[in-house]
Amino acid sequence: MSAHFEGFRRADGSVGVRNHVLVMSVTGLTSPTARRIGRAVPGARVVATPFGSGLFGEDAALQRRALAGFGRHPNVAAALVIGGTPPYVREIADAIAVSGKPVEALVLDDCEHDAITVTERGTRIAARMLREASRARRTRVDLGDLCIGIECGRSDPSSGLVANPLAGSIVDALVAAGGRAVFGETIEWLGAEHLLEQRAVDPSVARAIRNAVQRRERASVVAGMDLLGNNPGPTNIAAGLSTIEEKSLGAIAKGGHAPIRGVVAVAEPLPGPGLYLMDAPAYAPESVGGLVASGAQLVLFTTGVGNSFVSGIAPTIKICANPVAAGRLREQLDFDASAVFERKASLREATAQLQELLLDVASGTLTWGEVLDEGDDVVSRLGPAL
Amino acid sequence: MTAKAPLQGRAGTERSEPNAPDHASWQATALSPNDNVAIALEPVAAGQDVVVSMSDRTLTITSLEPLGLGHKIALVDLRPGDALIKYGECIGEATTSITRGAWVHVHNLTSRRARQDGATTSAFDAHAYMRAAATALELSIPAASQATVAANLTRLHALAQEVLSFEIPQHSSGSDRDSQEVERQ
Repeated sequence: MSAHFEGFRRADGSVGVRNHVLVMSVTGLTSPTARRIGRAVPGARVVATPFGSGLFGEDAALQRRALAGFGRHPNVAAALVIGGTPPYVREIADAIAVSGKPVEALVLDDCEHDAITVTERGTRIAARMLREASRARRTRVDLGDLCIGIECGRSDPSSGLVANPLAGSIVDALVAAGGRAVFGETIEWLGAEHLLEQRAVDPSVARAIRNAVQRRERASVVAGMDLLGNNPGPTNIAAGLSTIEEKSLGAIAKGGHAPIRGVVAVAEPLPGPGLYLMDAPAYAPESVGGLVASGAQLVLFTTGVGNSFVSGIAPTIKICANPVAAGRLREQLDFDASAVFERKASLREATAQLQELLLDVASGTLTWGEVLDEGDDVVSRLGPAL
Repeated sequence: MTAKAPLQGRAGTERSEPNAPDHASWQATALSPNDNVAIALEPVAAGQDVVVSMSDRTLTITSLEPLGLGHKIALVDLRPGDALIKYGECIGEATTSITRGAWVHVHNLTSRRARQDGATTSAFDAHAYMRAAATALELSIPAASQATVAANLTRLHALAQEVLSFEIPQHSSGSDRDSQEVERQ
């Protein structure tokens, strides 16, 4: 098995599997302008938050951490940061500039609060960045330079039986090669947390896992929510999943068997190689956003009945083992594992083929989500704003 | 790598391992020998004899009901309160008697977690607390506000419980999330 791919080596030593120019609005006031610049420079990727100065506490910290994470991301060659006032925009631009990549900041205050002026200047900056970025060339790099995020969405019983164990086998191979992997969706550890705790590298990690699950479980009890109908949701239930425990036990298979080195917060960079958990919401856009902001260059996304959401920054490989969905969603699913579910192929054989596809996508082959431009990158909100 | 990876990845279309399973020989599977439910790998009709592949044995169960692909069939008779085992782990408990061969789903199986009546909350009567507090403080709480006040008291009570039960880490460790949060400030 070839364990190399062709990637973009960045100034800070990280490796991009894509070469995006990011046009990022860090305040809600400037987001329509960022999207207009994105339309004017179609090769650029846009990230646009609807939020701004009312955020405080952990929400404010999360916005900064996640937006800086998107900008610093190895798949981003250069970033244009757009916002309302200088200190905040400067702070995020500086946090991105640490990576050594070109960063420019554009502030409403410096453009007489005229969106058309911001559009004009931003379009020129993004155009220049895109041309300059196109000079980068791919070189041969090791599988171990990858960090992958693992996600499951619209799961069904085929997810826990085939698609998640398949993703888990890739995680095991990646971790053995010195790479990094991370998965979140804390509520989907509920009922399986004892198995995750057993894999923790030390007692403090086991305690962090237990505390994270307890916080979510209590939150749902305090809110008076019945998890049935929410998680598992109506689609999960129709497909045959009955309880959160059943869903969780299938969901954690996507993390393979590697030791769990720590629990990180949403969008927090992984401190080193190996497998990490992210204490994060389960809804796919929020979950994937956190994984990508933490530095995942690729996402393995398993689904049972289909789920079209992908990251815009990190190519997202859709894996499905449900034969009915696989037959229906030909332009959504990148890897059809239904032969394993139908007992026509082994998990080991499918793992080798998925790893081949992973390296191929890392080297530039487009996912369906990229072809159809489904990508979006968002940041969770945790509490009220001022 | 001798050939380019397939653009549309698909497992097992061309090659097959020497011990590749014969797909026609079983219709349901259970991953652990301790499981008391199996997953249907294809739609099953009522009255159909279903061959179940388990890690250590194969057994045949007559299905009492039609089953959709991915749905669960009981491998043994179960009583209310019995644990349902899948992946060798508890996925919840039976809410009714379940007969071997029956369909197992939300109509006869419920979660043991995140329950309103579960061990994660203690009995707290917010209305009784509100009445007692209002009397002690000589407050008059309008009838229209009482539901909101009670709901807020319930939240506060749960929060207080969480604070009281919080285990303060004994010493700082690089891999502990809570201590990292503090270090970042």
